[in-house]
Amino acid sequence: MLKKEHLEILMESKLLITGLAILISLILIAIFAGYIAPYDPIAQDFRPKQPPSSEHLLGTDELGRDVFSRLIYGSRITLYVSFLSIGVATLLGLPMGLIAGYYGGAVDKAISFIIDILLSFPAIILTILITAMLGPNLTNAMLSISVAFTPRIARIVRGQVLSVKEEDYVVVSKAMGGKGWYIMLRHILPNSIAPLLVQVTLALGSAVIIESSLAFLGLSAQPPTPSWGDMINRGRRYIYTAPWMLTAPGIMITIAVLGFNLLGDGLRDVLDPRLRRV
Amino acid sequence: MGLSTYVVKRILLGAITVFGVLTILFFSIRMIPGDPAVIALGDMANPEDIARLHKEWGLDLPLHEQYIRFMSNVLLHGDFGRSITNDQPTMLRIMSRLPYTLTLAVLGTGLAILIGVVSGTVAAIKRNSIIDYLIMVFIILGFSVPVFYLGILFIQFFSIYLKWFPVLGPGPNYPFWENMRRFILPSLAVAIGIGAVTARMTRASILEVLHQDYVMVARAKGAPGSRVIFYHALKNALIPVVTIVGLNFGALLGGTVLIEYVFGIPGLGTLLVEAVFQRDYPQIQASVFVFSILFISVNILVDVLYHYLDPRIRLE
Repeated sequence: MLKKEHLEILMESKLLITGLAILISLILIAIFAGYIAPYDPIAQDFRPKQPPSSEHLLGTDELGRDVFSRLIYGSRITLYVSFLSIGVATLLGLPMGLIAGYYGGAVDKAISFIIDILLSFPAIILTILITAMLGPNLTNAMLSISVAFTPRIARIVRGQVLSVKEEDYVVVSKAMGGKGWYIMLRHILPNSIAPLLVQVTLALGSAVIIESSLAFLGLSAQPPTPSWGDMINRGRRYIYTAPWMLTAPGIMITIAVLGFNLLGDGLRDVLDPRLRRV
Repeated sequence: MGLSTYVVKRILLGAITVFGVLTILFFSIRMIPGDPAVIALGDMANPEDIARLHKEWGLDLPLHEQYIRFMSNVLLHGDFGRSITNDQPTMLRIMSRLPYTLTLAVLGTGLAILIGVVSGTVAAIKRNSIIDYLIMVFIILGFSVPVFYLGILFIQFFSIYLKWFPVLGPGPNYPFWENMRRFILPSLAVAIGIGAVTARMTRASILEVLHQDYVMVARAKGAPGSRVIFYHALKNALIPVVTIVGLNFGALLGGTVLIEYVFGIPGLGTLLVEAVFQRDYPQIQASVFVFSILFISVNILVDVLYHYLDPRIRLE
């Protein structure tokens, strides 16, 4: 777990600090959206397609809504979907990977088979399939992302367990009569957590990309909910006359993904001394 | 294990996976809340049409019979049924769209490898220089930008601002070379993400290889710098690159769906998106199936290639 030397590396890791700063800012924006946004994100109160001005920092959209206010509120959907869907995927994938890796044999074969099949669909295509079948809305988009990432997380955990399983402390604990679940929780999980943490952070970034892609295709949160992917989709139709409609949400998605990627890379540097760049 | 034994084993495993993929696709249509036929045709559909669809999709049969029917139709006849939109066989529609997607995927992969290997090698050779720094920025941004936004950015910059390329991608009404020109922007957009991942991998793996004994020996024997890089270092550094391109091919295929949609390319991805909008369930199933088959095939190809390139793992 975290030791003093880790904290020192933590502070030295510019990647990690930058990523963390980006994410904390985004979370603050999402929490205080009501105070930051100057207008109601849904109200169609203004002249449509106004270019950016001091009154409307990022202009207005085709329905006369303030783009800046929608952008601020849009952060909520992005963070909500990515944390919740990857959270669920971790809750499902973690035990799957632990059990498959620890018990091996037929259990492992069965779980690995399911993992392999789910991984035979490109992630975005699996999420399109699921949202198309269940119906396009925010809940189903989240569900589809969870389904797409559960096998990815299970596979990482399984691999980690396999590498830890033969360590002396596990063998000793087994010899002393430790129960399976006890060994898994007490010895294997804590020693597998570091790489998992890195992968989960990177998965959060991928979830942001997938959610915004689904929203771009109209398969995530439905209008009038402000979401970045949907804003780009609308803006695309007015690319000649109102390009400001899509630029800001495009940049925001990129920044959010960048935040998770930098944090993930930074964590990898800190947690895995072998990969530490000198 | 010999190479041919490995190939056979890998293909068999692939076949089992295809079976699993089909099972998921079978259940996907049964996952639809409510009556799929009613949802597909809309609330105003007449009962005869709904009954016809029930019969066509076998929804009246017991579940296990539905399953056997679905599997045998697909595996024996390659038949996913007819599209609801225009009553053509779904596979026929896919065949007319597939060339666009395959071209986009091949060009995208080629460009990704080119961009990744060149920039990764340059970054490794010029380590800690301003060029290395710029390439690192490209790498980090490259896999943070969502592909559909990148495509739109390209259109804004190269098509609308610079007027170098048309806004729309290739289509059936243009001559061959015009289509090739129209493939440039979409392929580049598809390539950037994996190009960035490849660049990072190449950079790291060349830096590692440069410290290996055989490279040191080549240097000590007085081999010129370029020969050391291109012959000794790059050759061995490329093995992980094969893996990374293979691992990310799924993301690339997913990218083609969005890029086809952005550039209005009449490929498999656009077909899938249209089918989703029209709730054309058989067409959705068939399109997703073909994407998975492409993905599984490339994975097998990459595994075999890896096996062939790195003799060390053959001993396992």
